[in-house]
Amino acid sequence: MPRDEKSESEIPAAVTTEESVLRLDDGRQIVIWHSRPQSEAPLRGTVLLAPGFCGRMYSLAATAAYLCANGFAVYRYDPLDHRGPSSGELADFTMSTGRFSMDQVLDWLARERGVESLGVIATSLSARIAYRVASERAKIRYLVTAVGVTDLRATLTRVFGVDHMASPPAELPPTVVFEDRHHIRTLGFATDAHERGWNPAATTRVELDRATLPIVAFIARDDDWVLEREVEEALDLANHPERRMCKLEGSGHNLAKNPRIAQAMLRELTGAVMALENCTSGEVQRAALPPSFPALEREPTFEMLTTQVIAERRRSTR
Amino acid sequence: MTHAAPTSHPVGEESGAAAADAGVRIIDARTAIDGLIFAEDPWYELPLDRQRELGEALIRQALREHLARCPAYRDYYERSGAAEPEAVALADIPLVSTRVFKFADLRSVEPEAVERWYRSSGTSGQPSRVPRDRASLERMVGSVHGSVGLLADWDEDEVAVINLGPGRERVEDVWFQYVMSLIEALYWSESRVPRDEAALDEISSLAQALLADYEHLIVVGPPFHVLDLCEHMERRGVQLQAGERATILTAGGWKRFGGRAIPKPQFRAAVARRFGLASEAQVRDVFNQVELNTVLFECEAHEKHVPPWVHVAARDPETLQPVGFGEEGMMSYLDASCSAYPCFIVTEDVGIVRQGRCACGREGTRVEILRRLESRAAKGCALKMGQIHAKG
Repeated sequence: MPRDEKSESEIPAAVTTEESVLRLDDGRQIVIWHSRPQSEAPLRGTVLLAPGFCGRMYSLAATAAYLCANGFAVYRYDPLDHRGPSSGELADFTMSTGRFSMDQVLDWLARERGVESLGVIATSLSARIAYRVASERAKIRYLVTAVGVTDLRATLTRVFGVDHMASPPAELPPTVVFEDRHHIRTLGFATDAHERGWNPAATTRVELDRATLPIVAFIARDDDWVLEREVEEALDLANHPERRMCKLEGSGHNLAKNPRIAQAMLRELTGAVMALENCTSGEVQRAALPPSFPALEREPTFEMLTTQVIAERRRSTR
Repeated sequence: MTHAAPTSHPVGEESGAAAADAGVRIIDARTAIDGLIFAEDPWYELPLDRQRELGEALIRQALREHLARCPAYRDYYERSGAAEPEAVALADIPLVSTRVFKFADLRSVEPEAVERWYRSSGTSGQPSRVPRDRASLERMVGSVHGSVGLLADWDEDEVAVINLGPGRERVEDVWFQYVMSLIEALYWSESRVPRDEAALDEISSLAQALLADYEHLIVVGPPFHVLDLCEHMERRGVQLQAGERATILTAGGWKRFGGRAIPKPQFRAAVARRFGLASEAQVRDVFNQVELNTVLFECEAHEKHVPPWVHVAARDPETLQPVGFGEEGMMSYLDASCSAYPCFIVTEDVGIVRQGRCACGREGTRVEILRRLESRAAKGCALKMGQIHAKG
């Protein structure tokens, strides 16, 4: 029986990643990672990944690896007032801070990297932000969301077990604790959500009614935080053939929990991005989204993925 | 293999769904084994009866898959006279001696699906070589992730790890080192081989610095390296005061340093003293070997708990029949988490299997590994099994 050996030195990294720092006029900075394929082949396109709330850039390592392995340049960033290396503390995060961060990165990509049009992939809370940004910025060619929030208030009520948005400011607790560990100041978040219209589910629908770009939304059928029907209502699939929902059986909100499901999702997501990249901007029609997405050309191995996760974890600061 | 290929299909293709379902795709990649290993709720909170029920179904499924995909094992199974897979008792599933892996390449997946062939450290002669595919490796990591809760509930940001072994770049294909190096995918880690006094000085300083910077420090390594570190710190007059903020995790046994082995309670006391731990329960051991895909963790009562997807039995070395709970025997495992090869193995370890409620309060199956097999006759039994297999 032939023996097929692979030594560590032969394990190819799926991705080359460089770090950039976007310095804002007020002294704050946003850290951005740029990952690109190892091959010299022409790029298929460029994608920006927005992490979920509390997510780190390296938690998107597998998504970046799948996309890079199939010819995409991938940018990731850590929003302001978030958990990673960008300025600010997670406790001060607001939806508008998240929106400001995404806008700043998109402007920086156009200004510094010449990336005028691109796809955006947003996870969980950042998807709610991306829906608004995509409805207002014409240069976003397509949007892919994963367990994306559409009804902020309902999701937060499920996460915290209390509808804090119903409380008068004076009655809000100073902080709430997310995932048993992360303290978030409530007054700033709630005030921003009320004043900037992030709360009502109807707002998401209105924003998406304005949007003309193709959207693929991945939802998890056992998600306790983002309900299937909420996403269906926001996407209005019956009237938007350029949109698609991909429903993952057996998964909760944490899509990475079960690697079999995560692998299936990453295959589908990468295929979706490959298909969406082929859609001609401004000519999105019912036929623009094929009944099934193309198969991957290359799939990163376990060795590649763990090598990348470890390398990116080392790169990250606490 | 116990998992089906992930599927993806438009709703309409499968069910003729109404127009309202246009634009919807269902992706179903669920498998029973992954559903258990990666469950939100830890397996060790399941009642014993439920653990048994799940385990039996998963192992039977794994058996069917390996019989379908591994011709060498199928031939061995058929010649063994075992009952049909649906009817065979778990205790009667033909076992592969771990010696087989020293001279035969046994696999249930295509060569291109093998991520790598891993080998034992080979301290006792010819090393074993075992293939693993992506699913098997992910489930091995899942067995670690799913059992870490037996130690504590840590946030990844709170923990720093010192791995007393080579880092990711230098592990090559030695399974023990490879598994230890993967901890860096879970927690911030530094890897150092305590090969000399200078290295031990550096590790000692690193431990002090990390205790100052992080909420919790984990030191992980084989017991002889941990003992080296403690003795070195004692010589240097370094006394840590970690209290509840450190866990010392040993793995891999004493290997060629068996002459230095000390009784476990004495080892735990020495380590707890040098690190200034609040309790000896913070010194834990884990068990694995290259031929086994699942990592077994000790609870605070120092019992190694066996997840339900692994069926473990101690066996009479002459007859290979299971002995009773609490009796010594040759350790054997049926591990449903491995898709790359039939992980139905009998080892050369002598141990004891216990079942029921543990002193820690959890229900389940536990193992205690006592020593390597010494009887020439018993080793001959294992070797004979290997010969049976080799003829296949």
